[in-house]
Amino acid sequence: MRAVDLELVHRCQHGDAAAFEEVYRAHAGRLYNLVLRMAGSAHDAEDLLQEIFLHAHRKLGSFRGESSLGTWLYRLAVNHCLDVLRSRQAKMTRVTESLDEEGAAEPAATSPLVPTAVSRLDLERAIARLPAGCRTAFVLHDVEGFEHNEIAKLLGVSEGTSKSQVHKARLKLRAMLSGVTP
Amino acid sequence: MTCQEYDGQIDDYVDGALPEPVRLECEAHLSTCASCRALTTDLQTIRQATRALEPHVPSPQVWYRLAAAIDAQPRGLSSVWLGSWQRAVAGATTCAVLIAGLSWLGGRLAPIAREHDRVASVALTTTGDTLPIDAAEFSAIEQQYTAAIAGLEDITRDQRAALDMETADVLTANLKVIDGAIGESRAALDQDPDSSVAQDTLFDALRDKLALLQDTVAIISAMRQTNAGGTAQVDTGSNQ
Repeated sequence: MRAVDLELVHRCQHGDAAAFEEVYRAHAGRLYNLVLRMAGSAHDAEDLLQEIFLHAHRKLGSFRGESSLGTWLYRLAVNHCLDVLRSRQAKMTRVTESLDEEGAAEPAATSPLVPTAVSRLDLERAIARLPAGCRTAFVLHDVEGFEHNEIAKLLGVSEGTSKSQVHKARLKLRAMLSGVTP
Repeated sequence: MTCQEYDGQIDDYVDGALPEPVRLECEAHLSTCASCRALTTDLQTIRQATRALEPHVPSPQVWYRLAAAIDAQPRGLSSVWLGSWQRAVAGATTCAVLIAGLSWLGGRLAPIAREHDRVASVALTTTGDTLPIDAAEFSAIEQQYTAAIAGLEDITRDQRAALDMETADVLTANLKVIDGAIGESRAALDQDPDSSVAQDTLFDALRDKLALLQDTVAIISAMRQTNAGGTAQVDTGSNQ
């Protein structure tokens, strides 16, 4: 763990409010982007971000420094988002099953359908419209850069399911961005 | 390699995660299959666009709310509120903390913060289960709310020009709804002054109004800072 993290955590553990604000300022941006894309709406994302940092504030006393503060917060955020998404969807396995059954529309074409210069706004909207299950896997893999074996552990699914969900998300995005309803 | 076989490899191909021999087989297939080539190009485009997504910024209100929630924790006011009296004073405590969190607004809010701290101190010394609260206590708490709301209304009125028209319209509409609820609660209390439900409803409505005005003042301040700094953080945060 970096010395600056260590000092910040030490100050937070002793009730230094300014230190916790430093933690927030340093990490809120990255966590917000993760949460925003996992949650699919800015309103939900801000609520989740607040809950995550409140949870972190309560748990800082148990922070052992075995990883960096950023990594610790990141894992906390991912787990909190997954808890919330799971409770919303009843169970991730049900989402997975429904996605597997549903499949994804795959427009037949012999030339590319997606504009080479995809609008950022269109892509953001399309990601937000993905079903929660495959959106989570997609965000963790394609946006956050997790490997499938890491996603499998995080989501409690097989590596194959993680790959399958990312594949479905990509196909759905292709359909949405090319104007074909998935 | 058939299209079906390629379909099983396409994501790893797009991700650049295939061993060399398999990648070469895929490329051989792509050179002869326009449909798979089109799909691959689209997935590569999406992947590149996803990687290039710009970061978003949370609105300043997240920190204010978080700071208020953290400040409230040591006071022992959890989300499990016990009754109308406790709920009323706990709400006032939260409002006091929120107001205190806006100290960067300068001296204009200081008197309001002091008023709310007084309510908060009442909350901290209250241990009974008095339901409903008596007229004197009720009146004292209501006056604290009213004073705090009046202070924030003054600021909002003075600084309203800093808000864009859409935000100002939303504010007006929401205030109208809350004022309607406040009026109905007061009418109910006129008929039954001892009704704890009516007291709760009134305090809830007053708390909502205080929170709305408080958010508005925070937005105004953030907008003024944004304008002064030549950046667009508030817009970025609120338009996501």
